[in-house]
Amino acid sequence: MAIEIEARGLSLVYSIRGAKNGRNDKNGKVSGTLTALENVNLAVREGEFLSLVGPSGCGKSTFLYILAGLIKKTSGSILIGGKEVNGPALDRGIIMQAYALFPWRTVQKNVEFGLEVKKVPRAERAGIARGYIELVGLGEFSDRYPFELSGGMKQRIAIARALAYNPDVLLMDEPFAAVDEQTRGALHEELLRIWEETQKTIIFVTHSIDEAIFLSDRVAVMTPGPGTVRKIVDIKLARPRASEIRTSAEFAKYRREIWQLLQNRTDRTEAVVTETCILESEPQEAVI
Amino acid sequence: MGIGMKTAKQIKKPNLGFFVSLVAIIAFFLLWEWASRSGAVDSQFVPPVSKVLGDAWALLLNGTLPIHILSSLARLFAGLGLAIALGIPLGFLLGGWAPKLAGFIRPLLMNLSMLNPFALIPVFMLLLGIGEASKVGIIFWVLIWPILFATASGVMQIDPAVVSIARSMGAGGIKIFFDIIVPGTINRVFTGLKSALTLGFIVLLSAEMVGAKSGLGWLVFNSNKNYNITRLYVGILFVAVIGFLLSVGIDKLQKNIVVWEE
Repeated sequence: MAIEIEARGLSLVYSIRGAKNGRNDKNGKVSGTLTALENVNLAVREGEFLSLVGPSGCGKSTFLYILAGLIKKTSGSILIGGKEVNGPALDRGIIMQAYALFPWRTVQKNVEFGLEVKKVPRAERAGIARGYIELVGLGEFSDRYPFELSGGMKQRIAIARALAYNPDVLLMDEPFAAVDEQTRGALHEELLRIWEETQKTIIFVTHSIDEAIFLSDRVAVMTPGPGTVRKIVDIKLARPRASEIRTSAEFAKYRREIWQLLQNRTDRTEAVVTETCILESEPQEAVI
Repeated sequence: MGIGMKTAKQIKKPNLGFFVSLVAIIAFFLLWEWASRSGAVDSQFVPPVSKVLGDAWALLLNGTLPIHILSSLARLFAGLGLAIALGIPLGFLLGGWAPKLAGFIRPLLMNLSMLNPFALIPVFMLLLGIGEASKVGIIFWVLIWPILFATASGVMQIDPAVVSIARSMGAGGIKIFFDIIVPGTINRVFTGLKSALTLGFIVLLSAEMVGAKSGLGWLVFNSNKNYNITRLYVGILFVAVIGFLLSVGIDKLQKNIVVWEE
C-alpha cells in the first residue's frame, strides 16, 4: 500500500523561559530550549490505523498537532500524500479529547462547518451532513445543541464533523479519554466500523495500551525526554475485531510487549518526564 | 428531548414564582391603600394607591406620560446605541487582536470606568451644555464600560480548542470572527448590557433632574417642586415599571438569541 503520511527526522524545539537547563541572560531571566520531539521517523500507509502510545509528555499530541498544521516544526520534514505540511487544510480531520464542538451550532450545523469552508452549496451540505450524522448513529439528534448531548454523543458528532468534508486522514487526539468505560468500548467498535466503511487513514493518539492494540494495525510506542518513536509494533489480530479479543492470549502478548517498552522508558528517563510534562498544555496555547 | 422539552414547557403549569411576585405586589398595594386611608401614614405625603393609579391613567390618556416616557427612552437608547457602536468593536479589538495593548491600557480604562457617573453630570453639562447632548453623553459614558469589558472578556474566554478546530478545517479570519468569536462572545455581551442598562436608567433619571424639560426624571423632580405629590408617585411608579420592562425585555432578547446554553 502507498505511503500516506511520512515524517523524516522531525524535530520540535521550544524556546522557554525558566528552563532548568537554561542559562541566565543579561536581564537575569533564565531562558533555554526544550526538545519536545527529536528525530521522529514514521511512515503511515494509506488506509492504515496507526496508534501513538506513550506517557504524558512524550510529544505524541504535539506530533499530531504538527500533522494538523497547527504547530510549526523546527526541522525535518512531514509529508501527507507526498506534499509537505504547510498549515491546516481540509485533507485532514482532527478530533480532540474535549470534543470542541461549536456550542452555538446545532449538531447538523456543527457537521456542516467544514463543508461551509469548502463552499459546498447549502442544499448539498445539508444532505452530506445528514449522512454522516446517521453514520455515527445520531440521526434523530440533528437539531439538538451540544449541551443537550452526553460525552459519547458529542464525540460521535465530532467524528461526523471531521468526516463530513471527506479528508484523507483522521487525526484523533485521545478522543475517548473523557468518556466512561462502557461507552468507550462501544465507541471503539463503532470507530472500527466507520473506519472500514470510509477507508480513512487514522492516526490515533492515546495513553491506553489496550485501546491502541484493539484498534490498530500498528502501534508506535513513543518515549519522552525528548519525544521520539521507540518502536513500532505490528498488531496481527484478525479483523473485524470484537470486544472478546481483549481477553485473548495474543492480545495479552501485545499488551506485555508494549508495556515493557514503556517500562524501560520510565527507569531510564523518569527525571526528564516531569520537566517535559509542561508541554502537555502547550499545543493548545501555541495554536492561538 | 428537544421536541419533548418544548411540549413539556408548553403544558407546564404557570410559573409559581410569577404568582408569588404578583401576590406580593397586590399585597403591597393593598397595604399602601389601607395605610393611606386609615391615616397610618399622612395621606398628604402618601396618597392612596387608587388615587395614584387614577391619576396615572388620566396622564396616560392625555398624552403627558407617553411624552415623558418616550423622551427618557429616546435618550437611553441613543446613549445605548452609541455605546454599543463603539464599545463592542473596541471590546473585540481589546480582547482579540490586541491582548498586549489591552494589558497596558486596561488599568487606565478600569479607572475611567470607576468614575462615579453622578459626579460627572456637571462635567458633561460644562462640556456638552444642558441640552440633550449632555444627557445622551452621560448615558453613553455609563454604558460603554460594561459593554466594552464584557465583550473583551467574552472574546478571551472562548475555548481555544474550538478556534483550533475551525482553523484545522481551513477557516479563515473572517469565518472565524463571524462563526466563532461573535457567537462565542454574545452571551457575555448580554451580561454586560444588562448591568449597563440598569445603571444607565438610574443615571438618566438623575441627569433629567438637572436642566431637562421632559423625561421621567424631570416628571418626578418637577412634581416634587410643585408639591404635586400624586404626580410624584405616578412618576416613581412608572420609573419602576419601565425599569422592570427593560430588564425583562433584555432577558427575553438574550434567551431568544442565546438558545444554545442551559
